[in-house]
Amino acid sequence: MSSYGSLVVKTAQFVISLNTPYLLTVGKNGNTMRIFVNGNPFATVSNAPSIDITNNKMFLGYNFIGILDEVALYSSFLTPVKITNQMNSLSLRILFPFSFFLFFFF
Amino acid sequence: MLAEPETPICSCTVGYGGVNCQIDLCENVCQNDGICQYNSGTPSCTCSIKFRGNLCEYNNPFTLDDFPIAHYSFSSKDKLLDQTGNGHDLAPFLTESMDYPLNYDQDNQALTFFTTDIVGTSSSSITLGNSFSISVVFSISKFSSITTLVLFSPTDVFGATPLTITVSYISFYSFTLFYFFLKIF
Repeated sequence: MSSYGSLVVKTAQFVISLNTPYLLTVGKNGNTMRIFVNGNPFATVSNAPSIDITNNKMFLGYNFIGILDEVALYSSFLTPVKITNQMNSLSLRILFPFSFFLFFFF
Repeated sequence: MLAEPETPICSCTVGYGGVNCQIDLCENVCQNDGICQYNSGTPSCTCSIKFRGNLCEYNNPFTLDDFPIAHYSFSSKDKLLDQTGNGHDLAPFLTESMDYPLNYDQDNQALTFFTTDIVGTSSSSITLGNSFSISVVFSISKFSSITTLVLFSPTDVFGATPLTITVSYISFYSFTLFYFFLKIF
């Protein structure tokens, strides 16, 4: 769906559980932007513009009660599999369960 | 009685030392073609992308494209959000990265550099180009009707943002549905 003056995409829904870690990945490849959760694609946006981060602001978590961790920004579009492999190579053991998820779905 | 003749004393410019300022303090400091700069009383090396370490003495085992520009592995205290702090402001990464390109951040185990995919920078903004990725691990510990995870809010959380990715949900009796909203202004 779209709204006045902006592009808004409402993606597919899924069921989550409390106190369960999820890996959220957002990637832009050319004009296409994709969102993944645990390696599963949830949204694809065409004709996505360049992104301006003004006033040096990147902000994570607002009105959020829970845990945010292992935030990474890459200068290229990486598949969730590659990101998970990279994080595992950094000995980030928290992401080990995601390796299983990705192996299962791909 | 004659006064002893005064011995001239050299005041060296930054980066040089010795009695006669004949010593280049950066000479042969950096290895593997690292670029030496003399800052705050000590020489420091800026390494090419293939090397890391204070003297650029170590090989960098990571490829350029696959390694994060920035990586935040929060401490056990910082990673827990209880709604009082309203999240994490990641602005320091941007400042550091622009000031120290092609550097290896050993504290964060991250390369801090910009590539051509980051097409524009200034003291107050940065433009990501055709390719980038951002990832975060999140876990919800308490549901609330107003709870929203704002993943990527480049300006102010209350203001208009060029890109905002919001995860919100609706809770029912036995399960919770999650919705993703991607808004591009």
